[in-house]
Amino acid sequence: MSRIDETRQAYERLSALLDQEIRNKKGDAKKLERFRETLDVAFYLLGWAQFEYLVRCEAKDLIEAKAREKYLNGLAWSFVQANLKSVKIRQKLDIVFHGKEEVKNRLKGDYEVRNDAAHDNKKLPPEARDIVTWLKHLEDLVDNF
Amino acid sequence: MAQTDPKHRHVLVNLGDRYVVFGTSRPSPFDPNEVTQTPPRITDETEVAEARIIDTLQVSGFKRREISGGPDRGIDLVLEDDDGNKTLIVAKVSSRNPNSRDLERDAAELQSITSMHARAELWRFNVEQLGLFIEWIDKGALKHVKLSALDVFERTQTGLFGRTQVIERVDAWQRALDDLYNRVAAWIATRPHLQVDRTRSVTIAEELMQKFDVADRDAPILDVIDDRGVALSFVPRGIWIIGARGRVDLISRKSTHMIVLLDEDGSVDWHIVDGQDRRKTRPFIEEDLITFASES
Repeated sequence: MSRIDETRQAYERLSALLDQEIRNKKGDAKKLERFRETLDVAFYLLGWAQFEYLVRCEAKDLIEAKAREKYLNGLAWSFVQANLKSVKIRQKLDIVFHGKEEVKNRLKGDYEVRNDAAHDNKKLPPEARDIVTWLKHLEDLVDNF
Repeated sequence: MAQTDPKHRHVLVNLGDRYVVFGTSRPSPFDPNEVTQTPPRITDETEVAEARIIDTLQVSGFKRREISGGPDRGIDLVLEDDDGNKTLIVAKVSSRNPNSRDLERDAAELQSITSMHARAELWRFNVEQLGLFIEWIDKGALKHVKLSALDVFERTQTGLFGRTQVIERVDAWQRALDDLYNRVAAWIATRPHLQVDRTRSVTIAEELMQKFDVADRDAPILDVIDDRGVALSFVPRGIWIIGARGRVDLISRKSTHMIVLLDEDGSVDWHIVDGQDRRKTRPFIEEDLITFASES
């Protein structure tokens, strides 16, 4: 079980607890519902952070393997390997999901959502609000690395 | 001279992907159907807001004029009314309303620009909670007025989309929610050991509502009560959901079940989502209600 799967289970447990607080009238329903929205954003950011780490690791492994190739190709990848820290996450997504345009574009959209939520205090858009399904999707992507 | 009073103005601007009409009184003189320009779509409004505003700004009853010596003085545009009176405009963009420190600085800036020959105004656009604050100096003191967003719309490839459509969607969802609750109440009515209560509510404030300046809505929670307390709570969870036209969560003593509003060939109704596979749904029926209410 990866960390993302554990994160999903933690989210399910916590959101279930909060739901029971709402049902049992343990406080103002509006406030509890706002707490639930905050929980959603927190776990979205956590899920993305954990996924980003795994993408960075996978990209590093792929680049290392490519750098061992012969001739100019290997030389070019060696240069990338030497400057790995400056390769941005969007570029690492391009490397890890090369040839999977739909997956890549969706993840880049997810990254924008992550930035908006983390830095601009924006609400999660419709495509990001089912946290359980989204975390399962990330877990499936990682399993297929 | 009514045009000199900013309170009576109507201002149309593009804020990235959205057009907004600011003013204090309806109707708006700007017809969305006559706005034909479709600027390139962008991912982050805040990066281009100021440039877009200045490029696209229209004020009803005013013409835009060339800026002479403007850039050095921080002037972004010049407006001329029907009588030939000019107003120099400094535009600022923010994600909040001006505070007292902003107003102090603005007053100093306006003092340096205002001249005998032209009136100067500072326009602060709040692009998060849509609003336009127009400030000017009158007899040495800073005055200001807030223009609200009278209309918000965007031109898409399929046509116009705006606040009207957002409000229609919210209204339709509220009617469907009401219908669901009435149905549940009718099922409960035949069971004397159960009662319903709609006194609690949550606030629906979704991204699209904020984007098109539609006010937050209260949505009622439906509680089903037995002799031990609340057996079930129907909690509205959203309107814009991927693959559905709305979502309500049914919280029983044991777990939470998702109910979604689906449009199947024009027939809109509530369906319960399979707990193991969220792609599978089936119509929400009375038997489900009684089963969940009995959970302990």
